Amino acid sequence: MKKMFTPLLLTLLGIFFLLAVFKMPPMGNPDNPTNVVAAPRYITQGPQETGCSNLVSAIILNYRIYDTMGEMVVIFGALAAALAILGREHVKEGLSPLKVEPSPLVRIMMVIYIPFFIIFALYVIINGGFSVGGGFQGGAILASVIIIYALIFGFDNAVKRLPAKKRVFFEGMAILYFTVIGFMSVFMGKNFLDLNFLGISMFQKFLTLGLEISIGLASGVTIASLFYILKKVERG
Amino acid sequence: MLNSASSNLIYIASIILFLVGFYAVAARPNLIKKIIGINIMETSVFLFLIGIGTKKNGAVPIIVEGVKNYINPLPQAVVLMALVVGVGTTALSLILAVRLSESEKEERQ
Repeated sequence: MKKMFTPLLLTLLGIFFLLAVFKMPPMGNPDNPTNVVAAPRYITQGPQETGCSNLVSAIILNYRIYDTMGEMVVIFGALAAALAILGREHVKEGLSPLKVEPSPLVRIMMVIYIPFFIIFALYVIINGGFSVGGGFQGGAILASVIIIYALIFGFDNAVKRLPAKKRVFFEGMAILYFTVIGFMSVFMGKNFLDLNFLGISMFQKFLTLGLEISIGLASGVTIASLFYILKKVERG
Repeated sequence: MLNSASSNLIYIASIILFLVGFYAVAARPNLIKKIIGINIMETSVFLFLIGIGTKKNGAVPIIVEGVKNYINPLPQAVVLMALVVGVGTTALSLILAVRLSESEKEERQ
C-alpha cells in the first residue's frame, strides 16, 4: 500500500498539470497575455528610461532592482549560514593532495587558457548592460575558473592565491554597493535605489556598470567560497 | 485537444521533468538524490517560464536598429534571478546534508 502511494500521487499531479496545460493558449502566439500586458512598455520605454540596450539587464538593474538586491542578500545569507555551520577552510601545507594527479598536458593547457577564461568572464560582466551578458553569468564563469584551478593545481594552491581575507571584501561588495547607491538616492530626494537620481543619463550608465561589476565579482567569489567550504569537509 | 497539445509540447516536457524531480524527492531516501530532485524540479519551472515568454519570430531582447519584434524580457529576468537563488539554496542544503552525515558518524563512534 505504501509503495503504491507515490506513483498514485505522481499520476494525480500529472493529470492535474495536463488539464491546466490544455487550457493554456498556444505557445508563441503574439496575442498571449504575456506578450500583451507588460512587455510593450519594457520594449518601447526601456532603453530611454534605463540606458541599457539589453532589456533583461534593464529589468534586473532598474525596474526590479529591489529583487536583485534581495537576491544578493539571499546568496550572502546562504554563505553566512554555510560558514556558521561548517566554518572557513583551514589549509595546511601538504594536507590536501590531489586524489588523481593530472597529466602535464592538462596543466600546460590550463596555464595557457586560464587568462583567456578570466578575460572572457570580465568581458561578459562588463558587457552586461549593452549587449549579451550580465553580472550573474560572468560571475558563474569566474567561479568555474576558480574551481577548475583548484581541481587541477590543488586545493591549497588555489586557497593561497585567493585567501579568505581577500575573499571577504568581494563577498560583501555587492550589498555594500547597493546600500551606498540606495542611500545616496534617498539623500538626493528620490526613491530608494533610483539610479537616475542626478538626472544625467551618463551617470546612470556609469552606476549600472558599477552594479554589473559588483554583482559579478560578488556572486563569483561567493560560489567559489561555497565550493571551498564543501571541499574542506571532504578532506576532514 | 490534440492540437493544443502539439503546440504546447514544451509545457508537457516541463511537466514530465517536474514529475521526475518529484519522484526523486518523494521516493528516494538518499539526501543527495533528494537535492538533485529539487534541482530537476527547479529546472522544469525555468523551462515552463521560458516557454511562456516565447513569441513566434521574436528577436532576442537586445535593442538593435531595424528590429521591431522582440520577445518579452520579463520571464528571462525572473529565471535569471531564480537561477541564482537556486544556487544558494542548493549549496545550503548540501552543506546541511554534510553536517547531518558528520553528526551521524559522531554518534556511531
